Amino acid sequence: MPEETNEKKAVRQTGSNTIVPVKADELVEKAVEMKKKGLRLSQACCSWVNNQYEISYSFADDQTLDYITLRILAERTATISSISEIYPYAAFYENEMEELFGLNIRYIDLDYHNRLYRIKTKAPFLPEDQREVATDETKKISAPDAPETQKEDAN
Amino acid sequence: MGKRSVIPFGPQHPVLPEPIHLDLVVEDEKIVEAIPNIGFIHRGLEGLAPDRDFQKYLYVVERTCGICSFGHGLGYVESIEGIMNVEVPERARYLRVVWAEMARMTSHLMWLGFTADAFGFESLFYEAWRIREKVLDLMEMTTGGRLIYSVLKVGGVLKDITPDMQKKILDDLNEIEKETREMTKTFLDDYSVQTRLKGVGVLTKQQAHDVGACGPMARASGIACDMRMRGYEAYSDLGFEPVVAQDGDSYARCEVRINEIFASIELVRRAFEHMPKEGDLSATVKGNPNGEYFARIEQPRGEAIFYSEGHGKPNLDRFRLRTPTFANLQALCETLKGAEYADVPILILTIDPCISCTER
Amino acid sequence: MNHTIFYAIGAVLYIVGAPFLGCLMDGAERKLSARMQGRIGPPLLQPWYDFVKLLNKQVVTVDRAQFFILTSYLVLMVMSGAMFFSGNDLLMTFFVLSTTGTFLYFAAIVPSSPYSSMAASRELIQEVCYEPAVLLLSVGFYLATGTFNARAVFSQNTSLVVFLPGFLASYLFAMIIKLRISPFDVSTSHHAHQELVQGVTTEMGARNLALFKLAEWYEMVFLYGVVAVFILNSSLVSVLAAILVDLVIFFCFVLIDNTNARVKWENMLGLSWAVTGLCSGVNLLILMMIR
Repeated sequence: MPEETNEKKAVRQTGSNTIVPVKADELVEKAVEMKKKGLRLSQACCSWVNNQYEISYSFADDQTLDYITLRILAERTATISSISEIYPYAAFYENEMEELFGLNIRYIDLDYHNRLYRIKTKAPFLPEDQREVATDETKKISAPDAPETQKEDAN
Repeated sequence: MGKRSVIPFGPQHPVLPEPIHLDLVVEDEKIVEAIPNIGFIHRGLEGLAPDRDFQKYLYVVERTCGICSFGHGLGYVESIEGIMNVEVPERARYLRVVWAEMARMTSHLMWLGFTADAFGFESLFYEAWRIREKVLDLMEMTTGGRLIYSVLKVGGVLKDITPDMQKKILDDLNEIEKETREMTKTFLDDYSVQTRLKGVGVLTKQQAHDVGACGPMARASGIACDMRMRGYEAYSDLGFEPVVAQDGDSYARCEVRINEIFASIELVRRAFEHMPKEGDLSATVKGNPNGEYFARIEQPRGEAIFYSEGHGKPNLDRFRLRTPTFANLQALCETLKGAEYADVPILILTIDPCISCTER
Repeated sequence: MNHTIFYAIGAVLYIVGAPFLGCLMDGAERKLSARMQGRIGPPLLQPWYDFVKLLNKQVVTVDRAQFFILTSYLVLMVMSGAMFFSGNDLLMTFFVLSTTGTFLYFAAIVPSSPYSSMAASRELIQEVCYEPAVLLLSVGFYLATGTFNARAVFSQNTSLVVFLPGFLASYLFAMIIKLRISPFDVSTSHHAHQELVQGVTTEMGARNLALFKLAEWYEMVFLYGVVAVFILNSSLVSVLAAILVDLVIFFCFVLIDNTNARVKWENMLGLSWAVTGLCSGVNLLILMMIR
């Protein structure tokens, strides 16, 4: 995955747009750093590419209009620590990542336990063969599993 | 300590434009806490990205929401153009600005109508929407659609604005500006409106920053942050200044949105002045996106982020849309603490909720 | 003797005719309101069609007690109107009217819905807002005519409005509250777009809502009738004058409805007491000094 600044585009735009790779255990520390600099958490998302998670936490500087994204690569069974103690509103993004992608995030401040969207299928944005993989800290998921998914995995 | 009760607000409620559920813990008409519950319009639109050609996926993104539809399309094509390094021709950039600003006007006029309705002033609601009809007529004339325009494509735009249309737009905008000034005088000067808006839901500058507010919500608290200052599309040539207020209450947010309507009218006029008289409408786009890009644009509701990731296939691997209301929901819960129950509709409306965008 | 029959006829006319008059006034209000907003508006008889439709709807009430309470509400409303139009004690009439408010409160509380329960509290506050105005009106009436009986107007040579302008002003203010017109449609309104959904009438449907609407029509005729107390005197021309004044006030109320947002109950309380205190109070002092 190319992780470069996008200065190639004919720039008439102020503010940089960078993606910085970090390790999963450095996330909380980096978040504190961002908070000290006065940056605002703009968004957090993840995607499933090349059999691993690509998690992005983006921070925006409202004065210089810079945009810094912390990029974490994680395995399916990995556990990420939530930054919602530092940025309380990160809770929504993390709940969404958990519900849509089955990403294991612990210590979320306001935890919806997979009931943010109340989707019937577990981790709908993951490919089907990945959904039932057991995680190290299996969290109790209150949404019922769709019977079809279970049948397919049994095959 | 008074009697506590939990009042469910939504998802069906006559005052809400879209379904959202709030559990309001109320103590004698004062709200102690608000717990939001969303998920009523979740359609999983982001999950369609790997299933569609990236050019066709634009139509899905545009239909995330009816009000902010042009902004969504714009952000999406910007993110793809960022990955593929496409240089959009100058005239197309100015046309995009014109349509984006007119879409902003319709959105704010609609918001003014909803707010008037929320505090029981129906005639003002009808007046705002009557003016909005005029703008919608202009949109229909130039793009063929009133809410969902489909004039964008990766690399440029699909339609042009002829000199006749341009003249009509500028003439109508003069009329619209005059009528809007009169109507907004009621919002800003009427006594009964002021009792409902002034001092309601105050968000200080520090609070707005801590809670991650964006858009008019943050600008009304004094944070001068507007994505249009980044100068995407043609905004860098138009001398844009963000509209800011200081008080942070609902009245200030109303003021900010009203002034943004006038700022948009001015931007459209300047865009028409600076626009090159002739030019290509789009650049040719060959190949498939390979890379990733974060595009940020200013929707009527705030900062919207579009992230696209592709690996050389015609379908994207991941598309992520972070809409401003998703960020402002936390700000809503913050303003609801300690508010009176009578203010709840006003407070929900001051963040300009677009729940379809929030949940995609 | 003749006069007694005359007054009895007045009461009967009210009981029989007020629904029709009230329905027409309701329809006219909606039409006028729509025209002010640049719309065409519903047909004039729309409230009647709505009433008939409500009676034909399936009954799915939360609690059957609501029907009994609303029937009592209707009966008391008719009684207070009939008492007034038969020329009886003004003070007594207004006290009976206040009792109807209590029944409305219970009708809203009984379904245990969060919206109507909160609106019921607001309804009581609304009562506190207009009570001073109507009670002081009776007192002023007594000071001007020497009796509480409404029929005393017919023996007056000059219209009472000359002696009681302040009372009229605060009564009109109270009327806005009583008729549930913006800016004072705090506990329920004719449009379901407030935070308490439709306030006290949220949990009323079918038959019960029809009863409420009927009571509203009786109330409307009664309230506009009280205005006539200020205008009527011993001459016959005053009857025409009273009708004219009522029409003008009707138009002004529709105008006020369309040019104001709904205020919060604290503001309503403050404003109504301020207006009542000022207008009625000053008028009262002057009357007492004249005597």
